[in-house]
Amino acid sequence: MTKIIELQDVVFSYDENTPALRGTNLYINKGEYTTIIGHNGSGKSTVAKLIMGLLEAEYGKILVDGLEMNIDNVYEIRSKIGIVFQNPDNQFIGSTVRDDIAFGLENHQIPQQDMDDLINTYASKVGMINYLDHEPTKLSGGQKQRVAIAGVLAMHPDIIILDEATSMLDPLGREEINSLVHEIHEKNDMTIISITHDIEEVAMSDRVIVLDKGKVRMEGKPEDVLKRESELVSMNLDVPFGYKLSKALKAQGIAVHEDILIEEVVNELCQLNSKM
Amino acid sequence: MSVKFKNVGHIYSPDSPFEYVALHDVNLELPLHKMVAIVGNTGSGKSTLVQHLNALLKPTSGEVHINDRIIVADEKPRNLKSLRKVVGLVFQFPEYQLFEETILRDIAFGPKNFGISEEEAEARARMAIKQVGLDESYLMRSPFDLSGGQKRRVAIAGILAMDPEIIVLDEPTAGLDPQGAKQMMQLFADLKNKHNKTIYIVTHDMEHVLNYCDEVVVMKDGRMIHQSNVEDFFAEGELLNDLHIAPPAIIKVKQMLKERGFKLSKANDFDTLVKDIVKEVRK
Repeated sequence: MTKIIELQDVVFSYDENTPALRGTNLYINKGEYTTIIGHNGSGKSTVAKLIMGLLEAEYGKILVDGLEMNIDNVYEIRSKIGIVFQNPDNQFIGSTVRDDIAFGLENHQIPQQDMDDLINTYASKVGMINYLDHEPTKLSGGQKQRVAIAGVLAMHPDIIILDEATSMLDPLGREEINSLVHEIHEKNDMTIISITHDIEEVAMSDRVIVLDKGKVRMEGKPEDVLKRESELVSMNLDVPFGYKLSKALKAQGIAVHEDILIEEVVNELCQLNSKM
Repeated sequence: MSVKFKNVGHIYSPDSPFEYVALHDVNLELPLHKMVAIVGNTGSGKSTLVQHLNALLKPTSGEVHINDRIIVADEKPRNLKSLRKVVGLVFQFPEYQLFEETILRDIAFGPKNFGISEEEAEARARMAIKQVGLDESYLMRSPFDLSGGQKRRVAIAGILAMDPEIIVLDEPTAGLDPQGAKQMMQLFADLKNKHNKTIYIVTHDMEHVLNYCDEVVVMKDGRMIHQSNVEDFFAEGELLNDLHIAPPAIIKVKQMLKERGFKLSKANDFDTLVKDIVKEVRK
């Protein structure tokens, strides 16, 4: 596995009283769907901004696709990454949804004809094709997030960072967008980093990194990490319902495995039930 | 004392090309001293509905009754301040509305605006900041140095300091981490249980509906299509599907197991579910 992003001993503070990262070491594997979780203030968004070169580390190294970030290559690094922030208001530039999706593409010198195709394709994938002539600032929070995601997906960057990018969508909308991102991730050789609170999204990812007070506390496959209940709870994080249920049933002497996905727990229970 | 909607309609920008009917003939009675969830998809009229509760929006037809106040279409409501003392409305992302130099001044702004003395307003601010789970040391800090979740708490403290009887919250936990969201919901539950407040909450989070709310009102395309207690709401499988509501994990598991022949009791708590499954598997 190639590491496409690496943070080595990174220190960053917003001011003297609030150190955000305290010698953080973490890596992202190329082509993987990595989720980053942690309570508010654990340093998740700071990591995203450092990777984009929007913040400058006080100490330590940041490597992106083999380049050690410095003032000269920060624009080259940024061109490899598409980011969707938690509050898309901060990133709208166009006066219409169409212009806004076009903006990123123009910067990548995409020919006009291809650009129109890409805008239509991604606007319809995120369910916003009927809003191309609307003003982005007048959309609802969830619709804004859809537009911001379309803009980034259309650019086909090597790396996509989603910083709580679906927080304003209703649960069904969130499922739609999550499966769209999964689909695009699988079809293309893209690296996805998703900063999220959605434990079910974490359960579906390739790898999870748990941040706490600006340090990596756990990392690995979701099916391993999400079972470390006492550690997760000590960090104010939740465990998946499937795990809670299978563990409680096991404690009652029912022969189920401790699974994190609901579907697997239910399947096992049904097999047990039919055998009886 | 009650909250009633009688044939309430609301049309945005009437008689213009942007005319949009947000509420159609809504008839509804909301109980007091309960936590009521208002659910529905984006654009269903939830936010429009709750903004009628403190006359931020007026009905374009019909009447809204809040205690002994009646707000009717085509009549300028008088003495709105007294209504807004009774009903506190917390918008989505209320942290965007913080503006004062210190948290103390921000929280005290509302009560002072209602003619409460400086001293009393500050005393209320001290109480409100504790109610939202922050300590008094925050009061002299700038609200802009806080994290998103902390700002949200401060914004809610600003409403609590006005001591309203009815607190209306439009998606108060959006964007918070699960633990922060739980603490926030616990705060509202305490306000209801210990301080006898009435809480109306617009939410997409069905876990919160299940765990904290007493009643559910469902909006769809500007109409009120369902009102019941929480248990009955989650038993309406068809309604949930129709609304594209992703049910809480426990309801999902129960539905899946029932479809495959498990007999489960009606209660939606974890221990009952575990007991029922054990009984079924051992049968």
